[in-house]
Amino acid sequence: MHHLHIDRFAGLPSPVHRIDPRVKLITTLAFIIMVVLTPDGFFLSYGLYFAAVLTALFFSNVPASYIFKRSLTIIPFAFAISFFVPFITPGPSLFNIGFGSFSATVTSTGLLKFGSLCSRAFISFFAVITLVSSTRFGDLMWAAGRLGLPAKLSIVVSFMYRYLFIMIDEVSHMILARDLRSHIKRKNPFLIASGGIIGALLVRSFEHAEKLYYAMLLRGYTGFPVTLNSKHIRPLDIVISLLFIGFTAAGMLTGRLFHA
Amino acid sequence: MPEPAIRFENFSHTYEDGTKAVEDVTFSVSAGESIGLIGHNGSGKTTLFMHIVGILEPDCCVNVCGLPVIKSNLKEIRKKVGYVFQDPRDQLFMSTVAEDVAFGPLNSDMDAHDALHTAEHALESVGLEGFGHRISYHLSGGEMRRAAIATVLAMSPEVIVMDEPSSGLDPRAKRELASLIKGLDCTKLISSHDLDFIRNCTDRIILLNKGKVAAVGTTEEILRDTELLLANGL
Repeated sequence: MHHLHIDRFAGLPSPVHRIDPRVKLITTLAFIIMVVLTPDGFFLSYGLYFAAVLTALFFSNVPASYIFKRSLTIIPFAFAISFFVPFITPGPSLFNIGFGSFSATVTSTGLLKFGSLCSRAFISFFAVITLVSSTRFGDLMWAAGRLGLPAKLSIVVSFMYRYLFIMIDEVSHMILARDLRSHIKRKNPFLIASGGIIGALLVRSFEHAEKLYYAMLLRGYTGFPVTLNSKHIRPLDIVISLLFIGFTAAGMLTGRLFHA
Repeated sequence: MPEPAIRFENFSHTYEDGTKAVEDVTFSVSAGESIGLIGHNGSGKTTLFMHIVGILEPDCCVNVCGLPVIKSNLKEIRKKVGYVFQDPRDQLFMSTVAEDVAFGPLNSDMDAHDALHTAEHALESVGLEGFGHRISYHLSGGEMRRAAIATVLAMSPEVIVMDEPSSGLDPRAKRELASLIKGLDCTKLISSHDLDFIRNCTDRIILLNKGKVAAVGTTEEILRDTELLLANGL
């Protein structure tokens, strides 16, 4: 199972990796709340927030290209959610877009809101990816449990995570098997084969996931995440967290002063 | 007379689709014995194994370490029985080998330090000392199999059941695995249709054919009888 695509850099020896996962989780949540609460158009603040996450990323030793690539996946979603914002937000008109008898006006306020929404989504997601890449998934679930995440929710998230990668694994095997046998010239051979793959994938993933669940059950799994890494919060963890949150708050204040 | 480690008594199982997997099976395994369960594909070996740990519908015709396999006994039985899956990838699901091996002890309320110590000891006993930090799916087939056995040994089981442990291994890895199994100090029930492997690590054999017990005898007795093996699809 190639589920280590996410845990790939989670075992690096870095100052960020050494921070207690509970502290990292709380800090990231506080950061995201501040990002989300920042008003539209505070691009200076957004820049400072991004600088804060980049600093954390730098000290984590996780390759920046990896985090950037993964963070870009949020863009289509952010774009889809805020697609109509430039058209429906009242404000000074910038230009018109017309398709036949239909025309829509893009407002400057709408465009600003659109840019702000996409920026905030990207920065928040970037922070989450940095957190996930510098913390083992098991530790993260353990921390979430310790911070009050209901056990049932933690089970759902854990299994969703495991089963997602079981499916990826099965897909990669089946695609390889398909490609090795798709050399015969046929009309839409890939399409025909892909239809069968989806059906077989569900059955195979289900069976494999079921066996994994049994393996866990047979070794005493009760639904509560366990971790081998004994955790304790060091004073340094608190200092780093406060510095990070303080810098983010300063970013927010700078934005407000700039726009005052 | 001491209680057998495993006992099946007039046990039958039919799957939901109507497939009769095992029919009227009776045998017992004494504590400390090393038993080979042999038979052709689909002869019911895995079905019997799954009943030992109650993965399939628990049934009181099956008795493990003195406890009938019923729902209320499953927790206790699963503490006593270690199950090694046919495909070691089904058994290794954590990020590193050490985490995988320590999973059982951690779930038995052992603290992280002791669990790590137990995991290291289990890895050492299967010849994988120093493999704790390795990523499970980067191991070779033989190493993966050993790691899967270590995950079970870390729980100090009284009985180990192994489903086709030699499948997919090269001859050298098979020999090493056989000698590892031979050295384990507990009751062992090993299913396989690899007769050389079974010869190397068991004392007694139960031969299955189409879900029924076709013969029971010492390993030498059964494996010497070529006609019996041929008649039963081996």
